[in-house]
Amino acid sequence: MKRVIFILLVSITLTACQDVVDIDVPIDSPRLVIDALIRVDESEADTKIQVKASISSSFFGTLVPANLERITLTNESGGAPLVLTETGSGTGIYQTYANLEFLKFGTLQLSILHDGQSYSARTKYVPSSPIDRLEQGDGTLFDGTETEIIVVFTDAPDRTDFYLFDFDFGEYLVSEDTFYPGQPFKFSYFYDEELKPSMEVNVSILGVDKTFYNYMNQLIAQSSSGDQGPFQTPAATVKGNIINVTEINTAAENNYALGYFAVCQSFERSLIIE
Amino acid sequence: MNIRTRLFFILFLFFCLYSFPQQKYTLSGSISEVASNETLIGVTVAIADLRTGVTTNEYGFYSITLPEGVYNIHVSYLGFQDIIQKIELSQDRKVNFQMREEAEVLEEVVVTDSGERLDIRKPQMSVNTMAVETIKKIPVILGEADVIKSILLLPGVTNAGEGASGFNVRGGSVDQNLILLDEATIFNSSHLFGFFSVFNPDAVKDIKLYKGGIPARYGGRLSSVLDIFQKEGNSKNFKFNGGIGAVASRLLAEGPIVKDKIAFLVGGRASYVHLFLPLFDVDNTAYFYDLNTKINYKLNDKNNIFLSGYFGRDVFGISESFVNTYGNAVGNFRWNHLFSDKLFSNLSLIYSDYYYGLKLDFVGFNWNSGIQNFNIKYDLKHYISDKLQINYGLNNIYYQFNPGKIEPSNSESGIIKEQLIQKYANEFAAYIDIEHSLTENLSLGYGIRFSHFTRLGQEELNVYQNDNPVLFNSELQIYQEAEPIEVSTPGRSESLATFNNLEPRISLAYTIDANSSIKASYTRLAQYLHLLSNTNSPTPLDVWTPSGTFIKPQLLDQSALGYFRTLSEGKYSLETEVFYKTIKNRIDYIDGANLIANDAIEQVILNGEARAYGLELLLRKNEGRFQGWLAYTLSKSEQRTPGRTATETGINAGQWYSTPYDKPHDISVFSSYELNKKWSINANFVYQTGQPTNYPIGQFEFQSLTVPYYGLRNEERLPDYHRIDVSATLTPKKNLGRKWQAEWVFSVYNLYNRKNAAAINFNRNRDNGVNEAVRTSIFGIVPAVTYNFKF
Repeated sequence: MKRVIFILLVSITLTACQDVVDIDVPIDSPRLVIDALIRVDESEADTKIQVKASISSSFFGTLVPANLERITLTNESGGAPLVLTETGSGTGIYQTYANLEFLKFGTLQLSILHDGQSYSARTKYVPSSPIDRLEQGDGTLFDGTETEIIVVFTDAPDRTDFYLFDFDFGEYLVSEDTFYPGQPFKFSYFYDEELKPSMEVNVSILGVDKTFYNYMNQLIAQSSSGDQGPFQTPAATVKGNIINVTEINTAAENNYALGYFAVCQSFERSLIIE
Repeated sequence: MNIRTRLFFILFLFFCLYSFPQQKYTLSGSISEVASNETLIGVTVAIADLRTGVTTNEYGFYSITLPEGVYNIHVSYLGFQDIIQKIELSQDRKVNFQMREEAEVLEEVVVTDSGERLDIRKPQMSVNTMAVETIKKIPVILGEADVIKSILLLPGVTNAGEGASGFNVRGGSVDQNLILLDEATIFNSSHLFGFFSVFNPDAVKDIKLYKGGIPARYGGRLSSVLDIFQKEGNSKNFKFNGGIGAVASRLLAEGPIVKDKIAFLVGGRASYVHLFLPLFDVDNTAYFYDLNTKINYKLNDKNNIFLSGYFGRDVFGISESFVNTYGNAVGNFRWNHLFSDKLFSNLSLIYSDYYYGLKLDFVGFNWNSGIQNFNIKYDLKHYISDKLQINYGLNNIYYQFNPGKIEPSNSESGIIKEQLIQKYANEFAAYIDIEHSLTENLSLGYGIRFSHFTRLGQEELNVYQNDNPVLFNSELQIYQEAEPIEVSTPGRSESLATFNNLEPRISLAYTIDANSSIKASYTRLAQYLHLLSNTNSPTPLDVWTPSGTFIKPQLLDQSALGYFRTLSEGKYSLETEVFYKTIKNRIDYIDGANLIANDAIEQVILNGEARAYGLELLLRKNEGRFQGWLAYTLSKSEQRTPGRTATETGINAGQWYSTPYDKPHDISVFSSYELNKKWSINANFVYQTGQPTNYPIGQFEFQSLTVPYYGLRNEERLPDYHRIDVSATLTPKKNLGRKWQAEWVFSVYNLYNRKNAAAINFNRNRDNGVNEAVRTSIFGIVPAVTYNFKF
């Protein structure tokens, strides 16, 4: 929500002209990237665990899938580790299935072996709140071509919640319940472009912890078109929770990985654009 | 008391006890403009026979004590006719001078002084004054004469790019400028996020910018003091002046309520910006307005009362769902009282507030925040002899901070009304400031300010384990917010933290010959308020926060050395200075810090440090048809926040990084040419090293986001910035001898239409899926016409 204020403020400020320019960007060494956001739908008995592994590149370079030597998911409270297998050779997508019991209780650990280096990430299941209503609105914001979606959900009482909304088409938003604890909360989201009639829009609400909330907040800011101009915030590496355990306690310039491992309850609703 | 401060007191006592053997009398009075009774600031009253003199203070008062005798008094002020008067001083005398503008007497082309002549004898250095006439000549965007845009052309003054709010002095941040309008603090100097400044140039009499060597009477901000005095109002005749411009129109009225005794001034300005921002359709609004008022009551020779007010607002609205309002309001009562011919006093009671309001209907809430302060100031100026002047005074400011209040904007909204915890503080200061001519060649300015800051109690206060609100996660190598272990309720009567600081100020001038001098200064300053701003340039919704348990006061040490010279009998002047400054406790924010509506701001802040150093050069031509200046600054401004322990990384890996307004090379040229009676032509040229920025060191994908990621902060630079602006002023011939005086100002901003980059953003193009570097440039070539009038 805070982000919304900010982006708004920024967008109306700069009514400036833009053009694409050629820039020589610096190049970091290639890093392992782990996209392990696991969405859990509690109405299903088994959840598909899908992890996407890739190698980072320079900004104008090409991202390639990573070939992992091993990837496993363990519940630290006991039981055998689940081994994820690549869906097809060279895709970098690794999958397995886990039941609710395994995911919901205790600390989960993702262990990865890549290029002789061991990586590890730990997380806990975070509950979410269902979407009560999803409808299309007729409001617009700046130039009159946006599509408005109205979301209503009820925040869970007696608990501090952080949410991640997935609005489809690669659009995300984070929100925390500081100002609407335990309340039904209604807000509008605007898609920049006009969505075409009969298009289907899927909206999910994911429960996240504070660290992942902060992570996503930075990711959204850094990847959004962000015409921030003089109101630019300092950009960062945005380190996630994938830790290189082989090189732990070595120099600060260690071979860290990018990405995040999170297991979140998710509720989804869809809507056909009129 | 440490040795340094003890030395100060001893020195001070010594000078106070200094006795004067000869019979002496005091010549004092006030100096004003004959047509309006407007008092004049900085008029020189020279006693050539003794090679001494004095200048009028902010209220037009002067006083000088001399041995008995007959003197030729020479009163001079830029743009005014000199007055030379023989005065016999055999008793204390009160002489008021009334000066006549040169323009009124000379029928030929008016060639006025620029109003900013260099004073090589005074120890005060690192100060620039700018006459309103100069400000009005400087070509600016959309022809709207602008105080802040004008000072950006001075050496050592820069900002974080076009459309950035505020200004940066000698590598300091925007919140380190003390901006005073008739002695009241202005918290936000920008309209429309920085495109225009909040001061109506028609209402302004005089501006003075201290970049260093800040006298002890000022305090509370580290980097500069921008002291702006409003006109008092014409107490002889009713006068109107105004203008119609591309952005805004102005009208100012002034006149006597009781002739020669009570005068008023009312000035208003309003914009119609929404007409030129084509992005907004009919539903939307974007405008600003401001109102300046002043009443001046001359009770008698010894007492003067001023009431002044300022009110300004910016309003943005996008359909009904987004409305944003913000601005300053200032009310001010001042009483000048003369205890004797030698002792001038001013009492000020000031209320000032900054308000920020936001209605965000599409997420269902209203938001407002602000800062209020009540300020009592008592300043005395004691003119002991022609060699010695002592200024001293007291100041107390009570602050109330509202970091934010949230309310549901409609009945369906789930937002619960909540007031973020309000904060309170009190800042007290006492100072003594001495201007002293030791010998014919050496003059000194020295003083000390004692400041005492109390962070007052509040309703709730977070308590952290080991008093540490920011944790370092060594596994993830990032800083994280700590959870409070309890919330205490100290209540309003308790004080949470107090700070005391002694702030010495010393400056000296050594006059080499009649035309040149060397000056040096050292300044220590403390700043207790911090603007929470994590962007390149502050936004209007940034809130101020007081120092307290977790956030320490910022402390500055600045030294400067300069060489000053006038050439060709004052036609030209050259000012060169080098400075070095360090700032302790400059706050910085952990990566990804959220500052908006954050009720526990201490969880995202670390105390760091900053430093800046540089060389400034200002070559000025002060008279003739062609006037102007060339300013060059070579400087560096950086900050760092090292880890608190050996295992912590600090912010930016604990390394120094360039501040967003660090511009190593900065050249500004302003020139003005009086072609003939009808036309005058003005031009600016600005060249600056590109601002620091970040280029991504790589990219990765997470979910469906393409994320550019970055390395250390501000390692790269935007392309160099440069532009030329020109303007031409047409004064029609028919003005001669008529009441209605008019002029047309034609201006072109960014003449060669350079696309100066305000930012380069890296993102994936949604339409073609290709990664791009997108340059945003704010203003291309912008022509404008303004019509000014007075009657």
